[in-house]
Amino acid sequence: MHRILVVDDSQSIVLSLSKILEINGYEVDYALNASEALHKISTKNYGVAVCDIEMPGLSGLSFLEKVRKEYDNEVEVILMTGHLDQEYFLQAIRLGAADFIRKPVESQVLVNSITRIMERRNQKHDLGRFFSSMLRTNVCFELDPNFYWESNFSKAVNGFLKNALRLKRNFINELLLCMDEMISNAMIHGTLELNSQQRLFNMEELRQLMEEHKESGNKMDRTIHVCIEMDLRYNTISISVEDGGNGFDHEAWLRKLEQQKDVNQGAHGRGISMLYYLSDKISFDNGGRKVTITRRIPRD
Amino acid sequence: MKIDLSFSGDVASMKIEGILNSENAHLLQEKLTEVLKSDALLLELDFFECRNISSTGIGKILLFYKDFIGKGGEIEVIRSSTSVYELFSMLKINQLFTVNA
Repeated sequence: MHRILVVDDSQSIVLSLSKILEINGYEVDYALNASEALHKISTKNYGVAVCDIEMPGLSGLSFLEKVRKEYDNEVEVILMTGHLDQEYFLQAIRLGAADFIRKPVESQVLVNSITRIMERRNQKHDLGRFFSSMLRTNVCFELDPNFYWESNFSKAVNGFLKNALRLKRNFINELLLCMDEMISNAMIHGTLELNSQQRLFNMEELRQLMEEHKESGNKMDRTIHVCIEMDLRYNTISISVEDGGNGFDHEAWLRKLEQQKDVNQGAHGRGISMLYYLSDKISFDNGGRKVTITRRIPRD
Repeated sequence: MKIDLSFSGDVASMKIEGILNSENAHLLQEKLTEVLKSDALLLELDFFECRNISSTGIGKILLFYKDFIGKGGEIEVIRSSTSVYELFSMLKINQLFTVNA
């Protein structure tokens, strides 16, 4: 059974909405302000929170923002308001509201909204259950360097790590940062072979350079291979990136990093330092063209 | 990723939210160029809601830093998230300018 949290400063509204939802088979809990609601979602699991926007103290929008940013909670939030102000609406969408309904609430509108949201949520969980029953999951991509910066690749991978592999947000952030470092290095060194001057290019200049390479049939056919492997036997996740460039003397870089005492203000080596810092293990293959980082998956 | 930039006298305040990576570091570069072209002599960076920052993003800041101190400017990180603070410490960025947690 799905548990719903109703949040409104009016006790009569809370009671009437709770009654409607209970009749429709939901287990219902309520809070009379956003602070109480935040406390409840941090102690119990709720599928959906139905929250008024205009409340004394923390507003419904602030509640939603805190749920996402501070509590990192995936409860779906339906916001209710007496007047559908466009600014409120846009802000609610940006903050990740699941739906937006008008007060006074029509019971069927509320029930339909919750039903749709729960169906979506169940589909997402089915996907998560599928991947968590696999001992090993290996997903590979071949990136076209012509479109990497327009592809929103990290956003797509973020969705996969979150919804399919069900990893925690902070852990995903660190993995995405590692992946970004590796792909960025592959683009800069492996594919485009940028010199120190070219590395200072802005996006427009970089696109122009890529266009020139493309027209001369040079370098832009060097695709980048990215593989993400989760192994539940060892409770690890690995990301490897391989480019079509000439590789580099990674052993010399590793030695240099170990000896480095000062701030690295130069254009080289910071990315590798970060990979070291953010991974449990880093390894290089194929003459430095392929780099793999491995992390243990944190569990609750 | 979202960047808010505002000016008050000779102070520029920049708030960065989300993940700053190689895909969006050019947006930071554009904002930093705006600061460099202004009369600002102090840049206050707020990374409290920045979940992480890539080496490309750090590279843009360091590049700006060199030009900015060249014209007598200063940088201060007024707030930072735990992950950004740890990253700045690990890369010894806090030797160059003040980085607050």
